Amino acid sequence: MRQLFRHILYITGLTLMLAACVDEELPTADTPQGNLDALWQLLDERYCFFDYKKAELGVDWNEVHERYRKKVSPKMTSLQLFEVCCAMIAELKDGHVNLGASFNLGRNWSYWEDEPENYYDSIARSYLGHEYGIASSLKYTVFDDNIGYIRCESFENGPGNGNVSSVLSILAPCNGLIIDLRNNGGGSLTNAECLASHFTNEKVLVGYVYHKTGKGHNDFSAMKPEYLEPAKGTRWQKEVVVITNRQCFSAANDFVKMMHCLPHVTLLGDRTGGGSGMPFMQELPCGWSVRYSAVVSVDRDKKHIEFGIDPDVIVSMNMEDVMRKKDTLIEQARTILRQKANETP
Amino acid sequence: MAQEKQESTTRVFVGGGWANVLDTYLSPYSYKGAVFNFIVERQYEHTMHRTSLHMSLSENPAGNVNEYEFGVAYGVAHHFQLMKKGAFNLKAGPMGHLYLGGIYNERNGNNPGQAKLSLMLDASALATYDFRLWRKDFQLEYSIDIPFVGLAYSPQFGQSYYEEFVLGNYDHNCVIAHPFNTPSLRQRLVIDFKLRKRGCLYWGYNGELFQTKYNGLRHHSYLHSIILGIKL
Repeated sequence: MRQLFRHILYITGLTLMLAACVDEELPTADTPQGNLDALWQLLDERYCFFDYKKAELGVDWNEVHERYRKKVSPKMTSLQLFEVCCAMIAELKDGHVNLGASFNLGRNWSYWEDEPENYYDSIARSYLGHEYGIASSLKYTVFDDNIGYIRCESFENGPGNGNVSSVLSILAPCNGLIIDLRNNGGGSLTNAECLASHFTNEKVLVGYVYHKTGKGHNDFSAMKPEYLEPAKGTRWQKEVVVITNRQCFSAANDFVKMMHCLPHVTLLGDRTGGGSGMPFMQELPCGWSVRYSAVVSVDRDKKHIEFGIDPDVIVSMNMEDVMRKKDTLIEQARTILRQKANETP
Repeated sequence: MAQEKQESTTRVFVGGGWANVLDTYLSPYSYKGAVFNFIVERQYEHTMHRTSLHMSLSENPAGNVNEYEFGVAYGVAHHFQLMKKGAFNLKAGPMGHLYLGGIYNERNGNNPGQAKLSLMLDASALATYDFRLWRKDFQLEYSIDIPFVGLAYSPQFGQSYYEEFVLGNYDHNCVIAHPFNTPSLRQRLVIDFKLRKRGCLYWGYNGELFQTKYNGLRHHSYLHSIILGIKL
């Protein structure tokens, strides 16, 4: 019996010993140094664009750590630490890398803040008028020249398949369609894909996705193809112009990536804002949230779109048009669609 | 010929205690809080069926985010009589164990939760010791289950649920579990107080130390509860 007891004790002891292995790995000290080190290590192990950012921006993450460690002192305040941490993550120039505290959101929005906006809200709203339709996140109307216009400001809440089908059915008699995506900061990829799926009749390769498989900067899974499947509802068959600016970010950037693969679609305006890494969230010992790009999405040529997608037709807002309350980008899109409608036999 | 009906005992336990939950898919830090348990167990001479449910609410070290964990488990064990010497009785054998659960972090966006699914073959043992104290009969019971081998679900280190369930991209999401990547155990120590008539009241400790290291992700769920049970 003693032997049996001994065996049970051995098994329990061995299991408890193994049990002690599965614990926290990041610095746990809630001190300025501990928090900065945890932030650095968390991104070091999980951020997905280090090699790309090194090639494009010359970011050496180890050097960044050394430089910012010197700026941290044990007696600094939370606000001061927040400022140092934000400056460190801003080195990555990624709108998906954020530090969240109760008093502020750390971010680098230079992808649009330092660029022309190419959008005037009051002018764009004047094109919608007062009688426009609203279907979830889509606002739509028909211009005098029989061009359909859809304003899509966000993919946060919709549109759903039913919304898009209904809107496209209403706009079906139009000679062409404008999708105004300007200032769309993203939202759900599923919603973006849902809208794009109404503009293809066949399954189309639109890009590839892959993710981190370990802590090394190059620990990635195989690239998996991403296809756009045709929607089951109404599908648009005529020409489309998608208007973009630098604030088309994240899911909006992904929508543009998909639309760029379709033959009857023209991208017009400015380069999109990018943000092709799907963000995950983690946290620091002090409770601040850390958002970072974790899953990489590239275009169908396997090229990064983290810094945006160039339009087919570059158009900027003309100040003379602004004075006359005209939107240069919408006017240019209408001209293109009218010409293409006339060319169609 | 009518089949002889096997004698069985059904026991129900409820309990509450302390939870310590770590899941590095959601956060690098352990969340601590409270757990509630509910266990129904039917014991035959050699077979034991156990259904258990637990829910925990815990918060991060900074105390500004909550995490909710739940799990439902069903296990069936076949115990062989290993020893019966006086008041001491020891049984042990294999146990099939199905677990379904999840953790939800109320702050995270694209990685808000983690699903848990496993089908394991455990090593299970049950020891009892009868004794008399203050002219009353008592029984001390200890049970332990150690997951041995099985299959478990896990996302890859940085894989999103969007890739898995919308795009259908599989990446080693079905993992072979063994004691080195699933060093876990469930144990329970209860003492029963025989009531005047036929009933029994149980009081004791229930501990679930569940740990995994799959695809570079670490998880632990340490649940320590004080439980109270009755015989139905």
